[in-house]
Amino acid sequence: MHFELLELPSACEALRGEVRAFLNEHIAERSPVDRALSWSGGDPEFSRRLGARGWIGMTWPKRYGGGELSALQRYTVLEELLAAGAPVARHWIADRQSGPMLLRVGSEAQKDAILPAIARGECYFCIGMSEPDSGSDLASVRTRAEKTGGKWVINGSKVWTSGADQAHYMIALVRTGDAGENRHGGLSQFLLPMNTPGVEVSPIPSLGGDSDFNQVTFTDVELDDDALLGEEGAGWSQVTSELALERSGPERFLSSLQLLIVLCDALGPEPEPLAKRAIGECTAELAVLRQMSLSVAGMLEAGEDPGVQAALIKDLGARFEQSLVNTAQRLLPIAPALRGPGSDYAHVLRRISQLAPSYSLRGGTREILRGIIARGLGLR
Amino acid sequence: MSGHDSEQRLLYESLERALGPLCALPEDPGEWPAAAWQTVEAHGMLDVLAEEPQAWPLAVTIAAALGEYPVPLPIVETLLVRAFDPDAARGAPATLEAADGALPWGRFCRTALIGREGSCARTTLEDVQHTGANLAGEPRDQCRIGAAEPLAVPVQRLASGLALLRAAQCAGAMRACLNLSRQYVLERVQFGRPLSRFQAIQQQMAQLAGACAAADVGVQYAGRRTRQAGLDEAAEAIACAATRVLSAAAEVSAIAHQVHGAMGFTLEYPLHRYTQRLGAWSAELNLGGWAERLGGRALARGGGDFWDGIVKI
Repeated sequence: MHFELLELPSACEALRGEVRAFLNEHIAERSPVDRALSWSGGDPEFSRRLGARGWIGMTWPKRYGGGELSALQRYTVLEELLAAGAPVARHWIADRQSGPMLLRVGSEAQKDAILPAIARGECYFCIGMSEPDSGSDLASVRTRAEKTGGKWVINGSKVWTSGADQAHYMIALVRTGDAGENRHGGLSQFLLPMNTPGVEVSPIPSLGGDSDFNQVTFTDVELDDDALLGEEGAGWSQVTSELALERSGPERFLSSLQLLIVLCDALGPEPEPLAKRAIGECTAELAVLRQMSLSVAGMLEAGEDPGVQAALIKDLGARFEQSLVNTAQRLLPIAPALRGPGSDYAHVLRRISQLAPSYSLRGGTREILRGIIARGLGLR
Repeated sequence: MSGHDSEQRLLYESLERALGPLCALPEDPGEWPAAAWQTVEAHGMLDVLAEEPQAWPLAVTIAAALGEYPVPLPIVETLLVRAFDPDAARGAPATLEAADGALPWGRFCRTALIGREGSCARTTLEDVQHTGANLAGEPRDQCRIGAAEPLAVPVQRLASGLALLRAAQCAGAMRACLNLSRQYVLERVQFGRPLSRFQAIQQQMAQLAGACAAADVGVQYAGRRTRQAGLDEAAEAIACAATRVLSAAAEVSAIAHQVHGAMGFTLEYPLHRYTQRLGAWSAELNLGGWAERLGGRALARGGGDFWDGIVKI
């Protein structure tokens, strides 16, 4: 469970300045409560501008529209976007995990067709993992693809799918054969265009408010053979490497930074000593999480598999972020209010209070993450 | 494993070899264990900062090893005195004023660094007025101070150096708690299976591991910042390390005791050696007021610069 420290090269500091200038130009007017949506707040125009600036698909090969930059340069851009509460939701999943998955296991035709559009900030993805009867127990998915007459026919349903209503594609984990003894066999991933006949998206109202949570059903959805992503039957190992990409990034501890920002302003420069102390504890926690996350970025760059470290960061990050609501209420009690009159602090507190329960659920529940860590310790 | 990693591992193994056997010394040895001290001197660990003033990452590694192998000798203290006082005598232990004003192992030391009007002063220790001990039984004494000679070292710099190494000792002690707990839950059988097979235990162990890792990263980072920028400039990174270590120590201690059941409560079993040190060293770190200082600076910068403050730590 080792974390080797990593230092951002000086080139990243220059880049950080460029990102801040860009954000100043494009989202200076964005309100704190909108910024508090973090990476669940989206704006197609913003994604396009970011793509035009070369800040989506930054590490990908140039021939697929990427910038051939390092993972650390990408990390710098990401953390600045998140810290500012930029509206990144539309392209976020495509940039973070779907694009890298395509690069790793996609066919040439798939890569040529899709990666440049992602990098331009014009092609969005959603994640097809959870199902009504398969949450943490992902290997139990029942959505099925059958091969008939040269076509794959998909039936079933995915749920809790963020952004499905706006996404162009889903990477769906479905059953194509028998599970076998270890339950991990017989799963495959498909690159599924969301406009295929038989795909139906219905919104699920949630505590996320404006965020876009959905159920997606598949009724005799026909896909060509080339919609298979990677190898038939290799879905489980593909999906677990996808999850390592999903779990370690700075979004796992910067989702509610806006609350700390408005809280600091509301407390003012000279609050009582206990308030200083609590803000100091938050500062320390964040600074250390950032170093841990940078360390994992370095491991990913070096081609290592930091699955356990990623789980550990996500668990610590979620716990810290969820504690912020209570910290804020303890230091500066206020009735949270989402709209209408009220301070930025009251607005942001309301939003974060409502989003916070999701932090230890999305991208792997706390219990699943701790199971992964326990396995890393050799306890299971 | 990278070159840096394997170098670190070799160093750590040499420390383990030197310190491991000395852990059996009693906390209060009665008289000075000269032979043990000779072993420590011969290893060279006491002089790393005197010889190479930037070697803070190395000092952090040594202090962490002393957390995992808690030799009851003033090693961290002597190492720091030699770092700040170029004329400090070699071959003999020295001590410094801890955050609570006590002198660790004062009864065995002839000289100490103390705070005088914001600066450090080198002083002789005339005689022991009160022999005390911290929660873990480590000597914490009050001594009559002799002539004081001022050094050009702000007392805050000394406090930063001490906090960094105490925090590193805590990180090492946490590692020991993790190892002991891991071993215990794998071996202890209840309800027909090892404790490690229970999900409730697994979840607690994962939490324990997370706290250990965070503490470790915090002190490593502070060590690196100190090498780059010096103790004064790295004060915020050190404050972060101390603050994060405090919350981690409380969590680690509680979980380690919980998974050990009554066994960890006995003096026969070694867990208390680490958890009581975590308690004692945490008290020292708490007295330093690091979290308050860190938060005070963040609040002075204001919300708009909060993130920039994090990036620049």
